Amino acid sequence: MKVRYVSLPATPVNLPGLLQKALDRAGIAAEAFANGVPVETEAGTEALLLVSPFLTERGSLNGNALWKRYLAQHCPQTKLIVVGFKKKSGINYLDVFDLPENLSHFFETAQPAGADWQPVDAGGAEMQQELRTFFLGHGNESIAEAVSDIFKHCSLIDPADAADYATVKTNFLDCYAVPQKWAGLQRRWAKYEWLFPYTPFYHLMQEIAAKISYISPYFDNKCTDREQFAKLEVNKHLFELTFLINKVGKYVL
Amino acid sequence: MIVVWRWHKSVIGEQNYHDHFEVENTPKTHLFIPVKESHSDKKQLLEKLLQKYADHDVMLFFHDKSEYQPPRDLPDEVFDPRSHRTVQVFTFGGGSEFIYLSQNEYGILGTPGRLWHSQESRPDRCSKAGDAEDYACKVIKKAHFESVWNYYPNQWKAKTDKFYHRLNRYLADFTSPDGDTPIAAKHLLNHWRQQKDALIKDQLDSLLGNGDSEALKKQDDAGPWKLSFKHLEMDIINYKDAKQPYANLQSYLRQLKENKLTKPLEAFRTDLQTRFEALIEALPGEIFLR
Repeated sequence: MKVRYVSLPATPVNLPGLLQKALDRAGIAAEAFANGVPVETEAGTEALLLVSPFLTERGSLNGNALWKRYLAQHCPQTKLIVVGFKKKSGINYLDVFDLPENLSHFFETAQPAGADWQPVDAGGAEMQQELRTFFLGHGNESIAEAVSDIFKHCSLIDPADAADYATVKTNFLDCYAVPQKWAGLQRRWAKYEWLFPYTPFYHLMQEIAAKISYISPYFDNKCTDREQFAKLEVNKHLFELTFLINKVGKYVL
Repeated sequence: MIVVWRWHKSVIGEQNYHDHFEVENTPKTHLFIPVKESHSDKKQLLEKLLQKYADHDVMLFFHDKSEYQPPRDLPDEVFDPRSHRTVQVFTFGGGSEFIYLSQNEYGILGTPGRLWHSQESRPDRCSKAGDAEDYACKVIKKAHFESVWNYYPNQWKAKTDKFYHRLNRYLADFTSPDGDTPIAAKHLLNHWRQQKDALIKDQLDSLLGNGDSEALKKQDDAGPWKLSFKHLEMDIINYKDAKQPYANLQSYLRQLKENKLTKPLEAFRTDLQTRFEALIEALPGEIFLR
């Protein structure tokens, strides 16, 4: 059986010693899956262990429901196993302090992520809730609306037409404070980006981060440089950003 | 919100012992009241204020070095859970807490006695919570007021939960040298001491009310995510339901520390989990990561 466990590229997660020993005794090898590539590309993974909650500098983070939702969509046959420390029982739950005697049997009878079951809440702040705050904002516009709004104004730009650029810049980019809105978007991203490595769609968040970083010089420059706009293909990236953000939002909202 | 501190004359004025600030863009019922620590009769003044604002929920902050101790110096009825309003008391001190602008850009307390943080002391954190320098305009910024108001009542649940989960990780890596026979607590303490993250033991001491080690203080000074439990001992007065679970956990940890526990590892884990979970359950708020 191919068993993997979720780890993080920057701060590797180890399996709890008690579980590692039990797996060794059962002859089950568990390899780390360093989050950052799509888990669905890890061919043949039969069971994915999630040590829960994640321990972060800020506190404990419960990502069980989000991981289940993601796996159900992308690799429904993979069995998501929540490895917890609380005395609880439930489908696909391994209590580190009360492990089943026959681990092989446990894995064989575990439910695939695509089946209808709810992962055990092993404690910690609900990741989905934290992400919702990022996506929806604190009563302000959602992140998707913020990007769309910027794109709406930038899409009026014809980079080949210098005279028209000046008009669009004055009447739309400046008038609707597009550089300031972009700065707000960057601040919002920076505030929450600590959270992204724990998500199952971290690879998408990295893609979004790369695009934000790539086109930021144009907005940092207060949208003054028409050639920079063309060279960085700002509109193409804004369009792709809108698409990616909506895609990720579907896992969260 | 009442904050007893060594307020500078630019905030309160030389002749006064307290003042009233409005909170921008909020109803007039939202008030920020700085009270001078040097006032010889704080007890009477605070009682008057609590009477005057008898319909208000109140958050009272006082310095941990103050001779004034609200749990002792405020009348019991203030904390009566049957009361239609809530009075909560929180301690601060040392400069490394959420209420300080040096730690939280939406904090309130700045350069000693002021509502702003000077550029000289922390160039990266030039922020201000209020416009006290312009004495005519006594207003606290809404975001700063709300940040502190929302954080303090809920902080201990998240902090205790975080520590509990860290402890669990260590427990899950520990196997008794004697198998599953009863273990002496010292084995476990030695194990924690030997871990890379030795602060776990320092946090235990902090939770026991034994003060903070230098290493813990250094860690808390360096970053925004605090490990100290120093002020929980005072703040627990606000949480009637949590008092007993807190005392139970402390008592158990004290026995652990004093090496009085000899029991099978599994029983020890269960005891510890039960006590931690009871405390986390009893503490108010949600587990949040801000």
